[in-house]
Amino acid sequence: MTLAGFALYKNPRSPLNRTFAAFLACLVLWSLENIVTQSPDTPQDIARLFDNIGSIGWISFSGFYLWLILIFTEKKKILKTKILYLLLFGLPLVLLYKNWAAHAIIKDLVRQPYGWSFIYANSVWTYLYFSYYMAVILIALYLLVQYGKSAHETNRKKQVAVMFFTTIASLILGTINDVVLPELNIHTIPPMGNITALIWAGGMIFAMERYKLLVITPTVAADEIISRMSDSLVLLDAKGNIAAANNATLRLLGYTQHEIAGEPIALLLGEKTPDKTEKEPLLWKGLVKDYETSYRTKTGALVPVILSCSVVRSSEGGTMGVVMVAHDISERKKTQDAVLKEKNISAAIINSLPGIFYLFDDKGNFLQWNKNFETITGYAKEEIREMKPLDIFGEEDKQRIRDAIQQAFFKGKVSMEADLMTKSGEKVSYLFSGETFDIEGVQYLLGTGLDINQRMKKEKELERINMKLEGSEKALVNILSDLKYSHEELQNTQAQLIQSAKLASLGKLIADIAHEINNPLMIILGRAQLSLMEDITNEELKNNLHIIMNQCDRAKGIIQRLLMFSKQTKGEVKNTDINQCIEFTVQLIEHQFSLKNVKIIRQYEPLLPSLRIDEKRMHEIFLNLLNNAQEAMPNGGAITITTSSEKNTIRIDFKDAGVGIPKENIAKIFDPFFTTKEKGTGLGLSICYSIIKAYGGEMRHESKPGEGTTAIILLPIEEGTV
Amino acid sequence: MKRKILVVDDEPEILALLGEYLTKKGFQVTKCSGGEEALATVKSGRTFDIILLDGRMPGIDGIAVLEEFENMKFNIPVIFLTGDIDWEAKHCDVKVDSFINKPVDLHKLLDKINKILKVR
Repeated sequence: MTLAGFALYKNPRSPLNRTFAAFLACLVLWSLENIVTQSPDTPQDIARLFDNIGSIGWISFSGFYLWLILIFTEKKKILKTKILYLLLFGLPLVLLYKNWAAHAIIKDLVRQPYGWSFIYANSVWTYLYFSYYMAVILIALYLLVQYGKSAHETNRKKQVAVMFFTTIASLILGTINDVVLPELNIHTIPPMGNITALIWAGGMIFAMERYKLLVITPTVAADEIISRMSDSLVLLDAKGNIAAANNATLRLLGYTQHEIAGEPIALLLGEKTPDKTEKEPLLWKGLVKDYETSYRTKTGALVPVILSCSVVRSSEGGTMGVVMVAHDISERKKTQDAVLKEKNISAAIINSLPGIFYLFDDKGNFLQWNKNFETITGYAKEEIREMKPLDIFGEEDKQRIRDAIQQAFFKGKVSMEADLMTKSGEKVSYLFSGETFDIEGVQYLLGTGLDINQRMKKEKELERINMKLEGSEKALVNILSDLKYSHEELQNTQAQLIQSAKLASLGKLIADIAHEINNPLMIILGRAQLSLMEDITNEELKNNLHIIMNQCDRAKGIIQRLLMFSKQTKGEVKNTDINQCIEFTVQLIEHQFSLKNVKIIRQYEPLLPSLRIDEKRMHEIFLNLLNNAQEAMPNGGAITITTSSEKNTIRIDFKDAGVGIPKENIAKIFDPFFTTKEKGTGLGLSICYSIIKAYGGEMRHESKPGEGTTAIILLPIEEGTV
Repeated sequence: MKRKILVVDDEPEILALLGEYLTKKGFQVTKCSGGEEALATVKSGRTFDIILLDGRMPGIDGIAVLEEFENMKFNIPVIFLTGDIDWEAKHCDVKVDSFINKPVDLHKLLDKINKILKVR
């Protein structure tokens, strides 16, 4: 039983061991029966029971034994036929049934001093049993002998011998003791089945275990390995001819052992071999290791292989031969080719990308990039390998890019616009997008860059157009405001024209009236003069006549001013220094004004361009304005006269600190006959206005009641005047 | 011998005034009440030392008379009486010895007449 367990323990899967275990189990059952029945104290029914159990063993052991031998002698074909098992175990099962049911083999048990002995039934079953196991064992023995003869290895031969002799011994001993003697009714000697079984089993174990284990010597192992290995192994003799090739070689190249043996190695070698390319065969130097070459098959096809050779030397150092091991790499080659193709396609795709493409790891080493990346940055492959991503950007962009890369590694995706700086320092705008991914714990950033220079240019162009538009808009607004201004001007001019027309018709009327009044006035004046030529003693009359004359003179003055107003002519124009012109007028009135506590402050801008005007007319205007200013300050004050030049005009200000003009009156002051003065005609300012207008100038008043009034005259400087 | 003066004006009161005054001042005064009459008087062969001519008159006015005088190569000095304040500027092409603005101060007129006659 221990032996059975041992066999199974050695290799529970091996069919040999399993069968052996079954065979041993039979022997164990048989021995168990012997142990129980060979005790004198065992009652008969117990002995019968154990004989029944033991019969499983002694009836079927021979079947298992033959099975075992068949496996041992490698009769694989026979083992595959199912009828074998019917033959082996069909009869024993019938015998077993007959013995159990009808005691067809063991008829009776007889008590002996050592225990119980067996009485064989004198039946057909008994003899069937005898002949069955005898035949089966003899067949097994025959097979063993045959196998022993054909076996090459000594170990196997020894194994066979041990098995053969233990079997023979056990068979003879067992048959005599357990079959022949009981048949002869000699029961004095107890059945020694257990002893014979022990011998048999022991021999078997010894043969199988000892020699089976001993079979795995380096040589045997090498044989085994060589014949089973998937790599090609070729042995060359000292002359370089093929001594042997393993199965893998034959399968790979399509030769048989017979065809290949003795042939020169060149038969197998393909085009590119160390043997053919080198003058001295490298094979013999043992220098070939993992060399990629090819073997030529019988049909002439080339099989890519990885070849390693080792030279076998004798103890004296002489070359005995060469062992060539070649590994078929056609599959790997195919995969490699596919990978290479894939890689080429990828490279082609990458290079065909319109923008730039690059791949770098989390340490910032560039791993891959497209041709555009080289052409655009201007760096060579070798340079890029040494560069970091930040090296292709300008200093001012670096922090931004660094942040973006960190963000990409953090978020997985990032996109930004930045200027790429080429090797020559030129800047090109790109839209960069990067995506990170993880391969075996290493992070990579795959990035692309699209040239947005054109877009930027367009954007700038657009911006410029927008600015232009904005400019146009502003210009339009300006034009509009100009238009508005012009419109206002036009309205003003229109108003002025209306005013002028009014004044013109008024002027005509005034001229007519003046002429009509002139004659009566002259008659009155003349008559008064004539009267005064008489010797008048009446003083009262004389006085009256003087009053008449004075009033006539006054009326004459009014008429003359009216006429002057009605004329609106420029008068006698010549180059005039406006400062001198003002000063002339001022000097006329200064003394008179000082008596009324009115002071004149002069603020003349020197060297003003001269104007083409009629001095006399200007004197009248200045006198008018000065009188107005003085009259506005009944308690005295200062009149400031300022002259200045602005662009193409000369400005004259008469500023008083008088009562001012109420707002509602400002617009009316130039209207003829508008006056707030008791003795005024309302013609002064309207005459001034019409004269200034005749010179193309402007006149206006700025006034704050209680603070004073400034009369402003603007006169154009004609081109060419100095 | 009295200086002969021709006074031309359409206004009878003016004629009367000037006649009265100038007579008093020792002039022999001939009065005409219009341009036609004045021209007729001058063409009749009567001679004058000086002529006072009013500008604004119905029919042949002062300017027309002056032009006719020009045509006649008439060289008696003429003082032109006008209400027009800038008459001189307007009629610088018309040959006239002097002009005086209406309403006329009689004494100033006499000064002017005397001044012109003295030159002669």
